[in-house]
Amino acid sequence: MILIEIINILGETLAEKLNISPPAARGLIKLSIQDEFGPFKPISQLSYEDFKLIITQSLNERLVNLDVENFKIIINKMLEELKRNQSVITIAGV
Amino acid sequence: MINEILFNIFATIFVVFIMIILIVGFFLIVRGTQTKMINIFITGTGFIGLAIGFIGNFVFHLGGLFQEIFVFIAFNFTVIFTNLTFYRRKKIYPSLVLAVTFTLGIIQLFLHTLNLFLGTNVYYLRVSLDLPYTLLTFNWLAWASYQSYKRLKVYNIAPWLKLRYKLVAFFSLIISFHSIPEFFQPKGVYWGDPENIISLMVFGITAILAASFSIGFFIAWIMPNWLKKKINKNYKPLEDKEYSEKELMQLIKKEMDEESSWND
Repeated sequence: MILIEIINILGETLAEKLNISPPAARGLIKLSIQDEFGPFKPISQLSYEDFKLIITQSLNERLVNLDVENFKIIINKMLEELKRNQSVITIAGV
Repeated sequence: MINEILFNIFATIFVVFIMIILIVGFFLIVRGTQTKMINIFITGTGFIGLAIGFIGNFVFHLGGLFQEIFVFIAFNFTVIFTNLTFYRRKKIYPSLVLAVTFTLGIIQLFLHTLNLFLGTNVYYLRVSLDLPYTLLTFNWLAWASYQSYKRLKVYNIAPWLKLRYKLVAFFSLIISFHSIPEFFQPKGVYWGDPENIISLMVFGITAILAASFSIGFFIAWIMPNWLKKKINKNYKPLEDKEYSEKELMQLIKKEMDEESSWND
């Protein structure tokens, strides 16, 4: 389950932006993955496009439900971070 | 006598290079299929193509043009791999690099064809254009991998993964120089001719560079578990406590409330 690496990276960014602990941020990302794909799609099979979808849809929705005011800025920052570190999905996935 | 020995040593190194890139190529095709990663599948195909080109030329004497067709496939596939892996959402520079690589590859094929069918000697022109072709293809990968490594090294991710980035960057840089020795190849002499010491050295240096690259990529992509464990020996992976959805959302809200009360 090596794609956990990309969750760690995105989790650090989310933690910093929401001012929460990294484990809580990683948990929020994992919940967003479940929202989008259910429990049956393994994390190891998630692609760059899947992560993009998770951020723009289910994570976005979770942030709205948490009453995060600047959620659009955070979502854009997360997308930027995913784009910057997209290679981890391949390099760690082989 | 010594020249013959050297030739056999260099030829053996070259065979090692071909065997390793075949292994790496098959491995990447299998992994690309298993993980449904098209970029990995593409680079695996490129590796195998490169091996087919060399085997066709040196074993079955199908000629330089035959080899160049497969080099063309391998180089373009390498650039596509770099673009899909590191620059999926960037459009201008990756497309430009691919367009230039493709054009330089077509020029190489054209110059090989000229030489084969018209007997025109364009060796130095071809080699001069082969240099930017090779430099661009592999330095693009080296640069992309190094830049990613620089960004990722601050994160708590497995050290073997960071090493994979460094190996890909370093050995791509090494192989990017492999066309430089070709400038010293004497005219009208068979590549690696044991009777000609300069040609033999050109062959030897190229074989050593190629074998180093293949070994580096072998370690990078097919890293044995014992090596991963050794590299990771001081690494503590992040282990998160398992929360239910309700517990987690409560925790996040609590942490956010605490943060806002600190700010008030």
